[in-house]
Amino acid sequence: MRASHAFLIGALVSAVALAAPAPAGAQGRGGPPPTAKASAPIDLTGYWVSVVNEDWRYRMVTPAKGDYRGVPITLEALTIVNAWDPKADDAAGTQCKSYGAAAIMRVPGRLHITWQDDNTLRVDTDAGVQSRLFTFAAAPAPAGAATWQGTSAARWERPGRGNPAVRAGSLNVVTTNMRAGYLRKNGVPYSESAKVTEYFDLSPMPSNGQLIVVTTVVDDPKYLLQQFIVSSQFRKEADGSKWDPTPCSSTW
Amino acid sequence: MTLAVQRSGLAIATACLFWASAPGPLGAQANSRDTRDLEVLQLRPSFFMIAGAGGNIGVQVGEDGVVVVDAGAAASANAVVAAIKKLTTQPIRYVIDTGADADHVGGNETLSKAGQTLFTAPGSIGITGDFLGGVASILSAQQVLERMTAPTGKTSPYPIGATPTETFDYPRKYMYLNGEGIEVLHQPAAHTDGDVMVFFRRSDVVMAGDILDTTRFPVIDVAKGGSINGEIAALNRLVDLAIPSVPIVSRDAGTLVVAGHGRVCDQYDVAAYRDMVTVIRDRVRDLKKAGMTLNQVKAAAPARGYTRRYGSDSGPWTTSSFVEAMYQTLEKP
Amino acid sequence: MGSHPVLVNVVTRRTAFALLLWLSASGNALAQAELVGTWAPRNTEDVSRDSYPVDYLGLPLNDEGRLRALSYNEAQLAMIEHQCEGWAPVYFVQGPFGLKIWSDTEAVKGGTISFTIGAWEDRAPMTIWMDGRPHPSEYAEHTRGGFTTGRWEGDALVTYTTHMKAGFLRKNGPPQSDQATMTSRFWRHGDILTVLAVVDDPIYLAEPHIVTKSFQLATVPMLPIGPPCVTGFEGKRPGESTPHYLPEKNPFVDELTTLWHLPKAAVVGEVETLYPEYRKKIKATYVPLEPCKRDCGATPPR
Repeated sequence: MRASHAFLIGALVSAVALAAPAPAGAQGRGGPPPTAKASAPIDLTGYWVSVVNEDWRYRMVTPAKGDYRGVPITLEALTIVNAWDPKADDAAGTQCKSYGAAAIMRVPGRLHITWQDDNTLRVDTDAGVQSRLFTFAAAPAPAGAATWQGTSAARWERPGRGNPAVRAGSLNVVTTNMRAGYLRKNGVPYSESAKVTEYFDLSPMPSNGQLIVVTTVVDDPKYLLQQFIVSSQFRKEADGSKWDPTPCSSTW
Repeated sequence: MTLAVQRSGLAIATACLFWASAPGPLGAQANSRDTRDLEVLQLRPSFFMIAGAGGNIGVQVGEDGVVVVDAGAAASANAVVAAIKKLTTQPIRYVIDTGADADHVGGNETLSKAGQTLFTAPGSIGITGDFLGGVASILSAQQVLERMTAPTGKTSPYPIGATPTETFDYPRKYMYLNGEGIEVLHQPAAHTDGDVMVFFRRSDVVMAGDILDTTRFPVIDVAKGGSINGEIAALNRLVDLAIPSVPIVSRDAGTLVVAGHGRVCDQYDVAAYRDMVTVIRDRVRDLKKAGMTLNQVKAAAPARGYTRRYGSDSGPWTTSSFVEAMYQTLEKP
Repeated sequence: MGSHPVLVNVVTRRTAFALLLWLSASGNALAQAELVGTWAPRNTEDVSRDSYPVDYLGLPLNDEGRLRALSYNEAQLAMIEHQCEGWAPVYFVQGPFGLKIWSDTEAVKGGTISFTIGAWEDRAPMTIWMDGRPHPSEYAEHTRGGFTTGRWEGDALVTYTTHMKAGFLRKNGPPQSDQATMTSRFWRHGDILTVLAVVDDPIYLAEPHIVTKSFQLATVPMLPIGPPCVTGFEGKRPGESTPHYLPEKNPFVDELTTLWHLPKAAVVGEVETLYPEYRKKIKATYVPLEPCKRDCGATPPR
């Protein structure tokens, strides 16, 4: 084989090798894997405000008791819907039932997203003054007591077969271990068995700015006949000047 | 001699009679635009639109020669001729004017002279091969000729070579060229009293002239016989002429309607434009019935909801002009 | 091989060519998502849209758009020339139906020339050109589906639509002008397809209108075209008047305020009502609703 042919084949084969995705942990030839923060394909940090352009009368005001339109609830859930009593929630100290992980992205308000540490993304909401922790861990920590925000396991979804060199992707978060809550302010329930799967995608706005689109999928074998899927939008703000912490309310 | 030729002769004679010793005809401006200023869109295999020459121009090509609808502004005429020559080597046979506005007829003389009459063979009554000087015919409604010429003692706005050689004052003139029927339909009292639409039946294209203008509210030239109800009637007729793709609505097909200015349309677009004009007319009528003066009607902003898209506060045709024309012609049919 | 120089040349060139082909195709394919298929709607979000004549909740209309919307009379749909018009392209996200997506592939390298989102009874097909062709001239016809080009950003398909006809953002009359453009993104996550559509309309919107919807991969295929549309007389002959409401005369403007106690500013699509601070503004004056008596939701099976 001539030298020129050998060089050509060699160059092409090297190019193929570079194009193939690197195996996990291969970076740095045996060094620690990159942290979630260092390997983030998208930057979700900052202040973000809800843009309420859908389901307005179910989100900006409290819908009527017994109105569960669009939520595929079971018969058992219907009993709870018709029994909703916000005063009882107040008395029991469960005003935050409609601010749990399965519903919080639907509550009009602002998000403040930061890195609590290199492998934990923190999402604070001013509506209901809630905090969610998205943990990027190979092995999930044992779950403690159920909380409104539950326990969230996060990972980056990347195209290109997971090639970390590809700077595009989504955040996938799976949340379990939640206290029973409400999908809507008027008492449409989800149970402690519910699982919430979310996808956070980033998009530039055509003229200016950025948008997060959060796709929320709620699975609840007890109260839902099928998956409840919604998608919510948040627009980036320059700073936190409009941050307005407001405590939970069972009626508003 | 056919009636058409007789009338052409009469038209020319009339024009000559009225044409005084003018200091210099209009239209003798420098032909300064070049083809790069124009955009040529192919609408059908044998039908093109030229934009950017003033009013939109339609060009039908075929073995019989070229039929041009409207000639654009005088300054663009040479460029238009050059653009047509790129489409075909056949000569221009007809220029059909949809109206008398300068941005539609300014190029008449140049295009006509660049073309060649259909009447090339000597006729039995002594018509020579260079009838009318051998130029392409210019066809229009009678009123267009009247607008383009002047009474004795007045300066004609156009040179004789720009004026129509064939005119008609009845609802429909037709011809069959390049394998299709061509209807020239007079629409009285719309934009003016001399508007025509030209319908190319096989190409399924209607040249609407300034009855339809996607860049602004329709110009209702009251001084030249235009009226709002006539304009709405003209738009309704356009809606009737055009057929959308039904019942197979998933196809992008149907009659194309070329506006006098702006983009190519179809029946849905014409209907939407007609609706807009109708809604504003109804509002003006309602206000006038309530006893409001013109100024009061203008202050009530009856065109709101459409002003941002079609209105203007400056230029030759403003929102105020449109409302005024409506107000003045509401009672006319 | 060294004793057959011609064979070496041929083999080397063919190998190199094949590797090059694989590289160019795989570099793109590795990052792309598979969008082809039937995607079913779940209709668990935006459940109350356009059921009422004056319901512009969540729409960022400007004054011009609001005036246009309030003048609209849905009886226009009875006009023969409007019966088969369908809705604006944003309806592929906004409407209640699913999506059927297929692709057209280039024969040699296998690249995607286009995706098509099939038509349905409420919308025209939308072809997304992936081959780099330019958008048409400003003088070209605007079609029911518009003209759309697309590109991949990672595994998100990003599309840009121009040349849309004038139409409506919703069935009840909020307008979309023919100057509007739409930018969309398609993200696939497992068997869920989330679509974002952003409509920019300098004529009728105070800010871009943002719509998102999620679909789920279906096993039952959807037809690629909608039913035919046959026009018929529904009370309005062609050329008769255009139904509309005179300014300040829309009889339905207070309907949602009465039914759902909603503030009028929100009902008519004032842009401030899309943001959370508006809740503070209306909290003191909002009158809670009586328990739901009708249209409360689908009855669950026993």
